[in-house]
Amino acid sequence: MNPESGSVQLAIPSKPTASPDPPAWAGDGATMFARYAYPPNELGYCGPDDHKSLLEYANAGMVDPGLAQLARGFSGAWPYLELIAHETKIGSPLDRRVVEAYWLGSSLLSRIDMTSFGNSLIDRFKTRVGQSWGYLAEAIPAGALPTHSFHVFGIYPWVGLLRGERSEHPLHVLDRCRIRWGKVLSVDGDRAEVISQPLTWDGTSLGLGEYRSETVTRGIGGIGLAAQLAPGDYVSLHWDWVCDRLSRRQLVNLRRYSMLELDVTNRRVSRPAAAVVLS
Amino acid sequence: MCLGIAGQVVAMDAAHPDLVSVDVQGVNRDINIGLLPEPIAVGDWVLIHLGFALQTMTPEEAADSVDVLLDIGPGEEDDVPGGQRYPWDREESVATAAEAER
Repeated sequence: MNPESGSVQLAIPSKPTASPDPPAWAGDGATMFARYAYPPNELGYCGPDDHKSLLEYANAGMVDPGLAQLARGFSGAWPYLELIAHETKIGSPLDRRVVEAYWLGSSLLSRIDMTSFGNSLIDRFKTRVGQSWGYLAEAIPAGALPTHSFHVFGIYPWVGLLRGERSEHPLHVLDRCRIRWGKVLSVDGDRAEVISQPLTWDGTSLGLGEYRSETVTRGIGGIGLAAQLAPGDYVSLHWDWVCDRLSRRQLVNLRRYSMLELDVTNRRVSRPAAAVVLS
Repeated sequence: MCLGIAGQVVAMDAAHPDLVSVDVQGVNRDINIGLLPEPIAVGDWVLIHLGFALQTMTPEEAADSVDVLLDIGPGEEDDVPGGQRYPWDREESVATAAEAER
């Protein structure tokens, strides 16, 4: 029973369990991955078409080979996890430190060779973005790092679309697709009210606006991604969901690496550039 | 789908002109077409990213993108036969992680 919501927790998912039990460090990271990957997966935007299993895994804090298989199906995120794991010699893409570095940012990223990062981008994207490759390639010497924030602002086409007539749509997508942070004001069942800073676009650069309150989802029928929340907690948000409760270190890192990516992006969009439409 | 996917329009929404229903690999999804410069109709193909149609596609372009999707989608189970599919299947990963932790 979830004492906060009064609802019954889901049982541990009955997924294939042919492989040996994972060590604790792997489970921690895999669960963390599920917490951040679930919101766009539920919307049908990313990853395998199995969001119910992903929610169950995230909620139960349980990891087995089925969760790893789901994670590998996130074709956008998985190569970054592999790159970070390889470059830091940690080995497992689902190690907690790797997963945290990708979603939130951390000092682990300083151990990544930028040539390797560039080569990974060439392998994955050069043939897709065509003439916009030069625009994308500039990101690395400008300080971009292999994070989810980079993928959202550097790879996706939405920054380029900001210059169109209906910039409210790209701005909305960028704001919800990035990992943002907020402070919990109140919790009411499956919903929570938080204060957060929205992404802004003034026609020439991206920034963060004034704090304002928003209502976000913390669960469905008592089944949520984050641990129990209380007013005053700092949380990470992805689309309309609360992903996790943030430690002070994680909060500082998320803000730091988000602002770094915004700075890199703003320097690039300060010059005319084609939208990076991946097709 | 994180990098865009092709879908075919199967229904318009008269009450919400910016919304249409598309068939993506056999699954119907509602998407926003507000970013497209020109009207579209049932049967048209569009490139979809994060719930928005970004551009129209010819049926040939759509077929190509679906082929790519199928290449990177199913089949991963066959990538590493006989185990070694997961991080914890690799003893060296555990050892390396333990070293890094120290």
